[in-house]
Amino acid sequence: MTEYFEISSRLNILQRIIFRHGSISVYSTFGILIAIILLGMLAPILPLQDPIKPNLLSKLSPPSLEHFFGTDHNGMDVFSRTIFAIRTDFTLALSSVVLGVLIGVPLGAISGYLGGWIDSTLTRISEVIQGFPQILFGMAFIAATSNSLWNVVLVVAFYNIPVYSKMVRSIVVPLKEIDYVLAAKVAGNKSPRIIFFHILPNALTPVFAQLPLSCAYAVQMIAGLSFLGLGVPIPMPEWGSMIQAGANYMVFGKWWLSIFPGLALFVSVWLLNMCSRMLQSLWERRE
Amino acid sequence: MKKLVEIKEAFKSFNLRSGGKKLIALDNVSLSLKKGETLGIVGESGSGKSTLGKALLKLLQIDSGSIFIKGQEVSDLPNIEFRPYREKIQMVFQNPATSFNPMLTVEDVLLDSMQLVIELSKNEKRLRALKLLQDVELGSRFLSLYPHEMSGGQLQRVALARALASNPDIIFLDEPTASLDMSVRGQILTMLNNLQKNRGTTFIIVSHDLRVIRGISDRVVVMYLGQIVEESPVEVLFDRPLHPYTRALISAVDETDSDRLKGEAISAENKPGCKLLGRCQYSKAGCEEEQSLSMVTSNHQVRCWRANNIPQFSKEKLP
Repeated sequence: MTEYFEISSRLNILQRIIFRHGSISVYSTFGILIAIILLGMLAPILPLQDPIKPNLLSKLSPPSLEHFFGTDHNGMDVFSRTIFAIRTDFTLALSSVVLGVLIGVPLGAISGYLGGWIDSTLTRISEVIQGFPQILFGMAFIAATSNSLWNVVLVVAFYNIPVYSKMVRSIVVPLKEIDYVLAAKVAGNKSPRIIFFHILPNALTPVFAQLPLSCAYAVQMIAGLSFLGLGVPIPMPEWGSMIQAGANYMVFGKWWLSIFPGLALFVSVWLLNMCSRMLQSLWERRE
Repeated sequence: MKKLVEIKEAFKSFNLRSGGKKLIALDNVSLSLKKGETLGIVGESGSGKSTLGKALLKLLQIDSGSIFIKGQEVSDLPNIEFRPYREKIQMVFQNPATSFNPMLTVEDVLLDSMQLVIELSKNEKRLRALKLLQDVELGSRFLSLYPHEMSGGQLQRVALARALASNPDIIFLDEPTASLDMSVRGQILTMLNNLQKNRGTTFIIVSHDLRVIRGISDRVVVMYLGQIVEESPVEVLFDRPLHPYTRALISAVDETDSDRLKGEAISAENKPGCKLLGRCQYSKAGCEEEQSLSMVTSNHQVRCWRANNIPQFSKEKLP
């Protein structure tokens, strides 16, 4: 076992992940994920049909050479909509995760380092947030405000804050008693500098490993909210709302409306999870 | 000579999780230090050596008692007001592997520890960092290295350079050689001796290794379960140890084991009498009564009821 650690500590990050998970799964996971993201980024310049242009003459037509994934009940091209939805879902997911990280990480660090009543208060608040069903909160929040992209991002980000603050807190608490932090204190560092310069950089590895997992969760969440009609406004292409719209036609045998965006959602979430698991193994090995 | 540091009746206890018991880490510890002196503190794990150092550096707050640095009472000062004193008192940690931030280079570390030195510009600080590395016998190439690229001995030298960076009056060394190889230990100790000669810094050096203490200290304090049990100049202590605990420590080193103790340290409950009761072969009725440090000679104190009645310490082959 020690030999294993010795070998793996001499490799760079990519080599270490491959060492642990095998090159085929690593390259395919990251490769397909990057391909999906590129596809989403390049969608406007690819020769795709307009994703929001209805065509009442070819409603609900099955997959064909002209429409690879068929058309939906408005005659919009499902293939093009599925591709364009990558942009919507990934952008929303990423911005909500980044927002959650930017607030959650400093909060967790402060809460863990200062301890006392600040820590207990923040921890209790996180528990309340995490104890409340997210879909219910999202429904209430969006019903009370409006059905906009920004509100979807806010709801998902709000639930990411406690995830990151708790994670960072749990790393900071043991670190604040470690010798190099005491040494920084002895050298005359003030608390903010100790937290953000001496402790936080050492607590970020698991945060990076968590990022893809949060993105996967956020994609699911956004699709879920849209499925309930609370997320992305129609007719913007988005997997969740596409699945929802198609669900009504499933019983009539028009399977292509829901199946293709569903597959895209499934593959993306699965790849992001894999990605997170691989990054996590980097962290586990560190200490 | 003026006293640099004075600790008066410092008391510190920690709450134990089980059953509201308290662990007494410092039990009315009093001691004082003169400028340029090296004080050795000996004792087994849990005897309060590190707690004493952390209290001195205000890394933890003592429950009662007072600590004076250069005549100023500091134990009651809030952290902000203690900040100017941080420059004057520094620390070297026991384990070099955990006492360095893995994300910072040696240069970052040294510059960081000079932040209280406001009279120097950034470039002057860089020069000083280089000079410090030379003082601890490391070359300039070490400035750009990360902790994982150095050995334990090299890291401990950098730790010493870091402690010296703000030009302190006092350095507290917590087992500075315990996690090093035997061959490196000697080098570090020689270096400490030289640095002290050149700079006149006061050292407080904690160790459970009597050879280290003997080689470097002027005066020695022996601690047992939070109490000072014996205090004297180093030659006197090794020549004529009075407390049975000190004798046990010394005889354990030369392997004669003539003064071996029974069992293990009993948890530090707050009983007034001798804490060694039950482990000591010389104990008699009366040992359980309350006692204090008593002067044997002008510079030798001991906390033992029977110090003058037990047989002379036989030293055959000391290290």
